[in-house]
Amino acid sequence: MVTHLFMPNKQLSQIFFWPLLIAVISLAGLIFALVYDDAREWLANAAIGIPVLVAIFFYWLQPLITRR
Amino acid sequence: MLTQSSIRTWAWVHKWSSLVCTVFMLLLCLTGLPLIFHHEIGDWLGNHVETPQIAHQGPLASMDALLAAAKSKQPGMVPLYMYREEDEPLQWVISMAKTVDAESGFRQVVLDARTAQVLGEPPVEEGFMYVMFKLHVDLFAGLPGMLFLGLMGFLLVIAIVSGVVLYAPFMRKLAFGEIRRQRGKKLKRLDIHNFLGIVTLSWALVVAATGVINAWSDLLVKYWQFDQMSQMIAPYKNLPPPEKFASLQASVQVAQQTEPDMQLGFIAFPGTAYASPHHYGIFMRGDSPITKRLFKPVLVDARTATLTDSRDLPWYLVALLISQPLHFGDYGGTTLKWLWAVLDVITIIVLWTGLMLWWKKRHQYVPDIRSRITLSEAY
Repeated sequence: MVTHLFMPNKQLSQIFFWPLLIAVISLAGLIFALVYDDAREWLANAAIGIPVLVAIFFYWLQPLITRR
Repeated sequence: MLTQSSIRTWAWVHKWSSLVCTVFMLLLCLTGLPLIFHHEIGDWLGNHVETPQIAHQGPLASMDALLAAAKSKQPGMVPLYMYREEDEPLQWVISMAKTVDAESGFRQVVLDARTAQVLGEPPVEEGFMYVMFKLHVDLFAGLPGMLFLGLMGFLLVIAIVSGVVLYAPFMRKLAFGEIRRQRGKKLKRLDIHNFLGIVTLSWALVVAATGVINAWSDLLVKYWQFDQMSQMIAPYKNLPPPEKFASLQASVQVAQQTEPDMQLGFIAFPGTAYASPHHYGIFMRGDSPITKRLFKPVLVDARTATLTDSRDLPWYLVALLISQPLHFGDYGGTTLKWLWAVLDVITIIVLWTGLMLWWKKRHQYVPDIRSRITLSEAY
């Protein structure tokens, strides 16, 4: 059954909140890593890695969690 | 929210911009993957030339001694460029060819910067990495190949932007990151495509856009020659090219005195694209993470070893030099390289799922876009 048909439509701001946040953080990381060569570079690398972590979470971990 | 007709327009744009470039983008992602690790793979294949551990005190070898050593190793060849790798500060590499305008038949001589000993001659223009590099840069087709791939990259940028616009109507009823696994392959594939595409948005857009800029690099350098170099070397316009060359060491010292706060980046020998027939193009660079990528050309008269001109790079070459690390992912150590590789693989998944979405439904007539959108289904 198509249950989500009865869900209310999400607003644009709801749809794009997380994608935009991830995009801004990872873009900042890409630029910061270029500007800094010290410890801040690690922070930048972490920011660039956020899309990877989010992808791993929803793709592999989420189904494992819901199955339990 | 978008109207039905504008959704249809964006969907058309997304479909065709991606369909045209997908095969090439898959090729670029696959060939780009080993290129991220070209240093490590070079070491592994045994192409890396080691710097010997020797007790050395006193000054480094003079540039003239280095050049003479390279010339005696490759008699009959002319030097093109002299540069060094960031991780091998005690080596200089001199690239050579039969003529300064040669397009193939290059040689590389690696020299010890302390003793001017020839350390090795790693192969160029052959091997697995060379094939990967050429497929990635110009499909073995020179400038037209580069520009063609640049155009494909531009289509990818359009596909990414239109994909972001289309993300909204498909996500009206879905939570962020929701992948419908129980409702058939098609919806699962659609959700994976949308989800992985949107989380890697910034990276994909940056790598695509900087790749497009890089595709223009040869033309940008040509324009720089026309725009700036021709002004700098105007007094030499009708002179015959020099037959005897002044000391390279003296020329480098002139450049160093001209830019005392910078250090030597690379040298372009007379007649190459970054110099003039009458000059050594001596490119000085800064020290900070950004300025070490930005070169300042110092043109030194190759006959007299005196300064001719020195100018900052124009904005378009600054843009090119800044865009390169953002494309290569070589600016943040090993961690960043691995992130680049994983994001590259995710992009392959996005491209592949997108292609499959189109392939599986190419024969289906889609009668009612409205109900498809309401159901958050692909069409």
